[in-house]
Amino acid sequence: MRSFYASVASNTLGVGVGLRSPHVARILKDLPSLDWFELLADNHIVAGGWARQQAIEIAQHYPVTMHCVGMSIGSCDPINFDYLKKVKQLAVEVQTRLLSDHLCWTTWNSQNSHDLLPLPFTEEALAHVVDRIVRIQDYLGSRIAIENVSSYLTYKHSTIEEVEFVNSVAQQADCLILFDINNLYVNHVNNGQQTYRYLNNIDITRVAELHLAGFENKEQYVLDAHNDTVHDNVWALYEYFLRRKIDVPTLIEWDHNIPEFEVLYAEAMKACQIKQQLLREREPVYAVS
Amino acid sequence: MQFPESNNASISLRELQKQFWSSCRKRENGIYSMIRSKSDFSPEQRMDVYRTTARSAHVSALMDSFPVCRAILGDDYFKLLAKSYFMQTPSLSVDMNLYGESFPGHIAMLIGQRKELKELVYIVDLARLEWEYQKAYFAPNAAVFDVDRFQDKCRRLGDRAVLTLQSGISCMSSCFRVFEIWEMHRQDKLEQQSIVSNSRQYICIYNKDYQPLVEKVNAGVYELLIQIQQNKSLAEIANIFQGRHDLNAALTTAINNRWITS
Ligand SMILES: [Fe+2]
Repeated sequence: MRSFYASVASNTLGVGVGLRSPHVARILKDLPSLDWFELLADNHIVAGGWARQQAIEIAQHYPVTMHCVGMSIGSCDPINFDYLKKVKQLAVEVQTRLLSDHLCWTTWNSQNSHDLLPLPFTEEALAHVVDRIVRIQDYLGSRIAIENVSSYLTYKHSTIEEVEFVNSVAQQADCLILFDINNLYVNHVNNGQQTYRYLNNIDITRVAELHLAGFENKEQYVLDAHNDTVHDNVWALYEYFLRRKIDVPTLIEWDHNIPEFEVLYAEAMKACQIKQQLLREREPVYAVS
Repeated sequence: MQFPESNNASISLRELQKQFWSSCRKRENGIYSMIRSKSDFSPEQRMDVYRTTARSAHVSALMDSFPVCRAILGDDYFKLLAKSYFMQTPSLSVDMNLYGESFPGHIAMLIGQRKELKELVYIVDLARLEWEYQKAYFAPNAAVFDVDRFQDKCRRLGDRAVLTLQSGISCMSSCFRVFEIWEMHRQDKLEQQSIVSNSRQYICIYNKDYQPLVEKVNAGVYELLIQIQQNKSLAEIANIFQGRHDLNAALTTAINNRWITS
């Protein structure tokens, strides 16, 4: 499918961070050296004011991607085309490199949970989600990337393994995958998800972006709170994935208890260092006679 | 906890989502039998994570939208009101910024029921002001008043010419000094002030250069904005104003502030 957004492929992006309002003035003033920013689309698709203007000004200096939470891809409610219209308008305006949302449902009977609710992994859900993504992509005129979500439960009647479900959705809908490695780890702790099996089997040809974030340990489970630095176990999984595919843009997410920009920046630099180290390992060593 | 095994294979996606939603909003337990579980983390506890997350997201949105009401009521009491609002009022928009429109009305209702709120009657007007301020923050940017276009409209329509308000502008009146209370809290000045105003207070909330602004206006300007909002023609407004307010002065203020469009 042709994309009408920015012509530069997203895999030319390196490491970015999620744009958060408290950092915008500082970023626009200092223009820190970062490859790109991810815009939380729902914060910026408003009619006007500073919230929209922030996105436009950042896009004048950096490549941006747009990450949505409102498509409700797995919902049984009708697709919200008014919402998609606003997303599309901003996507064109900021020339987004990638547009993404989550493999979940958020609405029921026109009511919005504002949370990413888990889908069962069944043939019915697969067909339902594929059909909706195809229609969403047709409307947007571009492929989207779907993200694996963190969850606190799985359903007894799921018949498909999560990674197979994600791959099948991407292949059948011809969309991309936004692979959140922190979500994989959170699901490992909460639901016994097998991490390395997932990492080995995810369709790398369709992975267009990686997410890294911090979680909160609640003893009984871990909460995907995006309120801390990336956990060492998640960095290890990240490195493992990069050994399979290295030219994927990586994003650091942070949504609660937002720290100084330097903290996010340091996390991004850590991701850069891991990538560079792996690239160095790949360089051939020539014997000098 | 043990659950009877149900025939989960027959559960449709729609039925599952319905059960999940009922469990989130009303603590119904039909979903529990569909959830895989380990003994140390039961289906009920797993659903509690979703209930808590949804509630906190909505309560946080209200805390962000009504910061002055929150400061006056205190975090704990505000959260109590926000939770009771959330239980009664699901979000009907994908835009979280639109959650809370009827929150001032919810407070008004509670004032009649809770004696600890009796002294705080003014907080309803304050909440209205905060809601309009939040709306102005996300409103489209105001266009410049086009004098030529306006004159052309007057030539074509004469007395029937109708003005329109900029989107995002709103006005309100109150018998309390809500403007001063709002401003004092925003500046973190917690001086004791008289709450009741000697005369009715008129306030205009609007958006200028990407920022929301709040301004006190006189009765004439308020009247003008209200009449425009009700689609009254200039002739009708002139009639209403006769002998009461200075229409030219009110129009000049409104045009200079970009509160009306041509
Ligand atoms: Fe993510």
